Amino acid sequence: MSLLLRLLVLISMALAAPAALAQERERIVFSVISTEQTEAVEALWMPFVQAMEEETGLDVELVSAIDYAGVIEAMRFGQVDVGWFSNLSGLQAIRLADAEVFAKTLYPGGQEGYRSVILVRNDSPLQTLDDLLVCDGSLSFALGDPNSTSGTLVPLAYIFAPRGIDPQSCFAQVTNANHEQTALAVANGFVDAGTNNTTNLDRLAQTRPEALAGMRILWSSPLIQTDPIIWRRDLPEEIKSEIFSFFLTYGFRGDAEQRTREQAVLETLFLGGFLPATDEHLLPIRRLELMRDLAETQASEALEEGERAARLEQIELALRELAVEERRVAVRELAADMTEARTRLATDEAGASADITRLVAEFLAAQPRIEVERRIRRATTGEITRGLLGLGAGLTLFAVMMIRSRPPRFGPSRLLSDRLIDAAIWSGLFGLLIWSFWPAEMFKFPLLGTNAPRMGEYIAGFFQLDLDGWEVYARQTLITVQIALWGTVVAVIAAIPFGLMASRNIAPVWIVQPVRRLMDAFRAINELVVAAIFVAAVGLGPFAGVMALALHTTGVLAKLFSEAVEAIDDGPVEGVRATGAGPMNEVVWGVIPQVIPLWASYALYRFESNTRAATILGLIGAGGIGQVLIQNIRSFEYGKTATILLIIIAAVTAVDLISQMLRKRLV
Amino acid sequence: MAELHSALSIDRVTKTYGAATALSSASLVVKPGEMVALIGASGSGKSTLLRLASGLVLADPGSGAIRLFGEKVQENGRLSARVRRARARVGFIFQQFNLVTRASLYANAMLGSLGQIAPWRGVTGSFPNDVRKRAMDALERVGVADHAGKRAANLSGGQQQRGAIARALVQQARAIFADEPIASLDPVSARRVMRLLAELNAQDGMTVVVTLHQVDYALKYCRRAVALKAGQIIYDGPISGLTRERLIEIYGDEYRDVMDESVRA
Ligand SMILES: Nc1ncnc2c1ncn2[C@@H]1O[C@H](COP(=O)(O)OP(=O)(O)OP(=O)(O)O)[C@@H](O)[C@H]1O
Ligand SMILES: [Mg+2]
Repeated sequence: MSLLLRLLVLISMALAAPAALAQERERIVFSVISTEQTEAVEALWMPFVQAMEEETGLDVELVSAIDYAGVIEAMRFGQVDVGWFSNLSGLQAIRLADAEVFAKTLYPGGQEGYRSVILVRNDSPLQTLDDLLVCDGSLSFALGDPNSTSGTLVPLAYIFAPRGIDPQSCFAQVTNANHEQTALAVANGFVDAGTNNTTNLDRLAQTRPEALAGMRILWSSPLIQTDPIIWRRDLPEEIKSEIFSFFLTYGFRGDAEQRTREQAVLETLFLGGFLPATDEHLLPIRRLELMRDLAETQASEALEEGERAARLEQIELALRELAVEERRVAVRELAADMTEARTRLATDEAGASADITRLVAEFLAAQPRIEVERRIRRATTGEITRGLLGLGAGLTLFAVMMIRSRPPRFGPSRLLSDRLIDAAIWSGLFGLLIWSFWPAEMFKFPLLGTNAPRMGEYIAGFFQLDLDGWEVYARQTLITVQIALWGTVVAVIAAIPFGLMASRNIAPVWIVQPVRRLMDAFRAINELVVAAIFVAAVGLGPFAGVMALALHTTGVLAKLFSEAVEAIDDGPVEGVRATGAGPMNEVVWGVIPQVIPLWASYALYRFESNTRAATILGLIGAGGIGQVLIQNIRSFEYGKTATILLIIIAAVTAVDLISQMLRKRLV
Repeated sequence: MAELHSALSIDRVTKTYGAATALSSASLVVKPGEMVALIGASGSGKSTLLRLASGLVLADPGSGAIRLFGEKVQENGRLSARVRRARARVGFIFQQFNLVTRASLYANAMLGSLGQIAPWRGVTGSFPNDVRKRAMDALERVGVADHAGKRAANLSGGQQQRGAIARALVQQARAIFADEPIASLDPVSARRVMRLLAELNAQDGMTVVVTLHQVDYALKYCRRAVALKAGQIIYDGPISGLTRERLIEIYGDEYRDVMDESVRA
């Protein structure tokens, strides 16, 4: 008993110690977004980062993440200083993280942009955009990540929004994945069509030429600007200057030998160098975003009319403001072109004057029109019908139950209040189930039977184990277990006081209630969200994962702990109390020994489930096997995914065996 | 000093549970060194009285004071601020032993010191050496020293109950309140426990208040009897005053048949 407590104290001290080692920052963090394995990306970028360190005299730390959200949060809280973003995530970064665009990338050929495309298989019957947009729910479609410019936003703004089509209702199924995955999904026939961009196709031509050869382009968009390079506005000016000159000269400085070397590095990164830019770089994307919002607002079924009108008005306003800025840029360009044309007037009178007329006409034609269409949507009667159906079902069951439980001729009869409560609970539950039937799409249940072969096909993919790199997976799994271990221990330490405070037989009601609500909140908030919050404080990496698990698990364990405490036998507590012991000793001797076996079981059980949960945290770059697993799932690497799953199962089994042994010891 | 105060004094105390009256305006004084049997039918309020006396339950508002050796336990339905001091003077023995079943008998005996040592010592389990010695001595005295290292859960009822008495000894209690201490024990263990209580009363001058269902045990070991019926004290006097008629009055008419049967047997 006492040993356990002393151990807890020691552990909590050990936990607090690292906080004291807060570090000073004399380095900058440079982030890149990647869809590929973290190590591979870091290897690619290393020469560039080293050159940046030499040129700027700064310590440069490279972080690569598979998701934008984490990086933006990190930038917001000073954990990332300079980053390569996509246009849309860049827009969010400058909005949320007080950052600004200072450069833009060029493609290897020096192009300043790319095109969004829609891919289909060579053998697909789809020939035109109209074939794709039949919208009879027969086709499946893959969009990019929700934040992806070329994968999601451009297609929405150029194809779907202008036609007033909502992809979700047009297609049988819409998936979101990164470019690489959508390309492979199309190539493998998992979806009928998917979005992509020309840059990724160039890359695919090198990495998976066979996949590329099996597809054709159904549609391609106008030119979309390259990616912005963004820094935090509050970086010191000297640092900004160093970084600025490094980016803009890289690949074009020094002697021929150095230029060749740097160009080679740029080439491996699929870059043609950098050009200066400002936030104006993001104007097109702002337009795209507004178009998307407009389409969504018009199509959304969830909006009530007043709300819809208000939002449309806001969008209209934003479009007007945007137009002013766009016009400023356009006017500047027009002025330059006109000056150039007028100087040419002396030499090429006819051509130049024609150009001047054309420039003005084109300028006027390109000025955006703001016409927000206010489509009125009839409130669907579906929801109301479902509600009524649920209510009717509930009332029917209620009536049946009341009749069936009426006082019998023989035997004891039940209290009316008991009968009412019973009937209300069961019929309420029944009504709720009926009401939830459609929203939960339970009518799709028969599909499980009819489409069983498809599931089999999918699962069969997993049986081609690809054992390459299993050592890496094993090592990453170990990290995951280590994250889970610390997450659980921190949670147990926190859950002991919280659990006691949430027990009605220990603490007064004015403590119990607030603590319980707090624990509810801990439990309710998804680990991913919590992890994102901790990223703000501790940056990307496993520690954020540990804290996210710990917070969530504290909520779960405190509840379970308190339930165990509420179920104790009062006898031993009174036995201790009768000796004149104080409240602390009553708890330590009267309560804790009774609940220790249950508490230990709960904690060990949570350790097992945290081992599983820790894998998910890979999503926000919390390290461990989860990150690897998600990358593989997203690139349809069934064999590798299966290997990883096997290793995870092995790890969870090992954890389970160990915890069984521990449980026996503790109980 | 001790002689100045009664071991237990209860002044017009009432306890109701909802509509049921467990104890109604009962008053009782027990002098140091007495050995009192508390008898009465099931539900007559014996346990309630003892638990009130130790401050394990609160009396109704309007009730008078309950004191142990002069130290107030509760008054007017509110616990005294010094209740823990008062409790420390009295060892409480429960029918169901109420030991910490996962701890050793030895640790359980040491718990008797919790009212006297600094709280942190109890919480961390760092009991002072004199407590450790007292615990071993007490276990020796009640005859379970051989089982000191075993978990209470693994011991027989009789052994556990003697462990509970050892806890009261470590507590250096001046009185023992025992609520049906032998009700869950076999006849031999029961006799041992009763003899132990009688011995503590005779040799150590400990005050003992014990509730009993077996009248013969009361007759054999106690000098004074207090009888409860429906929450009221209907007899308080020498044990010899428990005549056939009185017992029938205490336990109701059917007790006549009980006595007749045992005579015939
Ligand atoms: N926690 C409680 N809640 C409600 N009623 C109670 C409670 N404790 C005791 N009572 C009631 O108070 C009355 C006296 O109970 P008490 O336990 O003091 O009787 P007792 O004389 O000890 O009986 P027994 O010999 O069966 O132990 C009984 O009517 C009982 O039902
Ligand atoms: Mg009782």
